[in-house]
Amino acid sequence: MSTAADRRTVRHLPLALVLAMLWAPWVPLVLRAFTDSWRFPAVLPERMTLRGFRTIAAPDSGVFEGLVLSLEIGIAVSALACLVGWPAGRALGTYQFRGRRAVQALLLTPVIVPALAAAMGLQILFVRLGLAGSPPGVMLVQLIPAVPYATSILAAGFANLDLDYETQARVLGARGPRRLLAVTIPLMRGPLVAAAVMAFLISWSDFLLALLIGAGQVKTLPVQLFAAVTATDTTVAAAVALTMVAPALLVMAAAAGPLARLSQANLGKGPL
Amino acid sequence: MIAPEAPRLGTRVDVAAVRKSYGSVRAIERVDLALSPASFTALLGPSGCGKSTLLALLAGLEHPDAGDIRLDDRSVQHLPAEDRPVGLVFQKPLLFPHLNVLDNVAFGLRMQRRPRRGARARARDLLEQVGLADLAPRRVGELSGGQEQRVALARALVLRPRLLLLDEPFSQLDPDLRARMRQLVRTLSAEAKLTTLFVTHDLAEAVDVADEIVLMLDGRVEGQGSPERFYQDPPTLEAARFFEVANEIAGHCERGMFHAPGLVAPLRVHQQGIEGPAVLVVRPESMRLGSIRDEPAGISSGASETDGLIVRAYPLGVRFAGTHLILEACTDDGLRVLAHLPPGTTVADQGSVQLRAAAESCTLFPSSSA
Repeated sequence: MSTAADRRTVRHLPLALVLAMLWAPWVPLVLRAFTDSWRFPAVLPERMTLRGFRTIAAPDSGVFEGLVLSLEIGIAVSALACLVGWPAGRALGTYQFRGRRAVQALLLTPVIVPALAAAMGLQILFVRLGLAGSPPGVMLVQLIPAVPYATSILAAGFANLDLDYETQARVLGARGPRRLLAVTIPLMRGPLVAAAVMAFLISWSDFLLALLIGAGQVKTLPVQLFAAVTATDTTVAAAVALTMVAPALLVMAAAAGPLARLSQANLGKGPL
Repeated sequence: MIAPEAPRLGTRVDVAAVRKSYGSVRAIERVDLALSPASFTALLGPSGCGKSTLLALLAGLEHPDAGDIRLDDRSVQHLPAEDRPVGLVFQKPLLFPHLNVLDNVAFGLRMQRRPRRGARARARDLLEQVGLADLAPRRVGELSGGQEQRVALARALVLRPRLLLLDEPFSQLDPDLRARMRQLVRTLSAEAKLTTLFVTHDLAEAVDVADEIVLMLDGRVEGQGSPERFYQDPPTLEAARFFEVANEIAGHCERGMFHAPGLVAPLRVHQQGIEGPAVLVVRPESMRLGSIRDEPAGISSGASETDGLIVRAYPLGVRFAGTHLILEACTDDGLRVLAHLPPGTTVADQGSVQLRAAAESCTLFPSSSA
């Protein structure tokens, strides 16, 4: 005999499994960040400690500076990716032109080809230009994966946008820049937030490009995390990892509303 | 800029020899048009006839390849859409979803950098005029279709345009609501003494709403005049067909007489200068059932002439259409004729009947093919 509640449980089981797979690894990580010794036979950690966070908070750790640097680079990458992705996305999402599908396919290259491959070639150029080992250099190289994502998201947004709104705004006297601010950007808010968040997170979690172009001198959080992990102090490493995750989660939480609306719009359930 | 508070007696609109093509596609072949001050005109035509292009040209959203558009004898060609004193309401309401009802109406004033308070006060006045004052703080997503178009109308009127363009504004509404919306737009337009151009593909709507109809077919103005004129004296055969003249009788004119196979006798031609192949059109509601006694004695085809149209035909069927009967009949030569008869008329189902129409209700057009 099966009740409605039973059936509901069965339906929700796959979703629960996926969520469990996503979140399960975080349990030991969080535990590890707050414990000192946790050796083999013990199921639970033996001693709690704040040593990891105290190490990070120490003025000479450089983690706070890394956090600020990562934020700065992330925000710059996000802003530039949206700035470049806006007109490109508009062209791609709005106009029909020869080779449009090919361009859309090419925009997926960062998913297929690691940005590292492109960065390897750029490294020599950046050294010559004096950009290697500098935050602007890292920012520029992170645009390689960030711009295509931002462009794709904005292109999808423009494809869903009814351009007649802009025509109506013109007839009501809204000229170029005012029209953009008063009509187009508000209508594109969801895709714009999604593109900005995506670009920010790409920058925020990037380790390889920052290490390669930053030459170890641009100490973003992921670069520091890597150093902490290789230093074999897992308590400090776990604490750095959590420090890195927290702002990303905050960004996602802040953007949850527009992002949810965006995914609804893509399913045809509502306006942008 | 035109002073927004200036008193006004309506604006005269002239469209002179305007042409517009998109690549090789000719949207407007040539349009000449005059709208008198504070007139209410329907721009009627099937889809693809160029009427939306004409609106875009008037609004400044498109630029004509040739010709001129003038408001009160001053060309507005150099003015972009943002600066033209023209209001435009589309088929879709296009209310901005991120603004509430009041701020949607105030939008145009805000774009003119009017202070928020003054703009909102004026917007509230307009909302009152369209009967939606209590919806001012609502989100636009909560409105019904009719309310949406009323807000769109208020938003267009808030800028005190000199010319109001309506592009099939109510075609997505229920028929009953459409009729009420037409009355509303007529009232508002009259109160503001606005020159109004109402685009529609619906003949009944055009006849109901407008003082004057401009019929557009294939990128040309086929005729301009009162609805009555289009019914009683259509300017062209195409216009007559668009106005649902069901009876077309092909024949030819010779020395002032119209001859056609289905006629009992030739018809004296009142129109000047028609010779050769011609088509006679007559509305079914102009047809009367004649009794045999009315027939002049000794008449035979081609033998005499008549002042009215007389057709001898065999009834095929009678249909009840509420306010009238529709008689479908066929002549010896296979010409089909429709007549609208008063309810209660009895039609003999044996033998032939005579169908008559007064000469004034018949219109002749020269036809190119014999």
